[in-house]
Amino acid sequence: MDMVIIAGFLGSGKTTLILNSIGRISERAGKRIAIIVNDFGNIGIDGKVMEKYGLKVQELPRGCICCTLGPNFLETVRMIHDKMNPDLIVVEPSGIADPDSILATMEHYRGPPLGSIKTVVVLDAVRFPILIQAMKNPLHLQLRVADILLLTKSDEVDETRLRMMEEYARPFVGDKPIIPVSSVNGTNVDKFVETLVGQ
Amino acid sequence: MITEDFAAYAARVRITFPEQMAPNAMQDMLESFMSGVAMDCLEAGTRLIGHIKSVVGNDDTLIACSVTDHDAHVRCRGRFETPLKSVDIIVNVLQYGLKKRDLMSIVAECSKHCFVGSTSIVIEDLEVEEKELIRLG
Repeated sequence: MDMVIIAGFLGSGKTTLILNSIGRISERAGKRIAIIVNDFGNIGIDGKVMEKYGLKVQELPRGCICCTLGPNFLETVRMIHDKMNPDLIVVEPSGIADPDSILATMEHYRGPPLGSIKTVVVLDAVRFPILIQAMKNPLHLQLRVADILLLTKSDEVDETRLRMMEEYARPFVGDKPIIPVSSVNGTNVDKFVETLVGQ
Repeated sequence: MITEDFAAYAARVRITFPEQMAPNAMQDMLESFMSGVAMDCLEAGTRLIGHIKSVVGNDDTLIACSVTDHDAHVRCRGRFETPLKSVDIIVNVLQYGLKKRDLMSIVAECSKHCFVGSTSIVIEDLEVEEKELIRLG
């Protein structure tokens, strides 16, 4: 069982990306997929949306899996393994989560050994200028753990913005793939799926 | 990313009208509410909108709306398709700069202003175990 963590700042397009790519990942890799969603409040909005679109979701409401919900997260992973035994668990943490802390939490997982754990970081191309001003350090932490960096909402910005983002992010992500995507017009969603499945 | 000035508010807003409202009117009110919450947050001192999102729905329909930009542009997935006499909106406001009590006040005020003609607005805080309902009408 592998794990993919889809991390990124609040409102960066994590849920939309999952809605638009999960079916393709399943088709492309022939994988059975379970999804864990961590949302704020005791009624999760993202989980409701995903379930409406036919995805099987395990919600972790009220809190953050990188801090207060750590033990619940590990228990949920174990429960999913025991009951569903999927090939892949996709984790959507809340947008306030630090993906590095989630990886640290997974070091305490005592269930059957996992295969790979990959971190996909989504970075909002529209809000990039304000995010690097207001959230510089947390953003750098996210970039450093990315196995794939997606520049989301690419349909709403020009090429110059995307180039600027890539230049900014490259020192943090090294040679990891940086892919501009748009869930609205589908740009590069297939490329993302190919990259994820092929890694 | 939790910083010292991060605050969030999750609530269920239950709105009742004296008669069934047309789907388009309901959609306009919902979008106006979402945009209004964002603009009022920014006016009150939010330095960064994280995510203001809502969901309305049952087994048949689901309308999910979202504001992330500082121009308060509302993006919705799904629309109201049938007339409704009441609606339950689950709304999350996640932002940096204001306190939770400010967010509670903004959601209450926007509910009053945006759902014109409603006979009852009840707001339930979805984070607390002991519920205290705010009745606005």
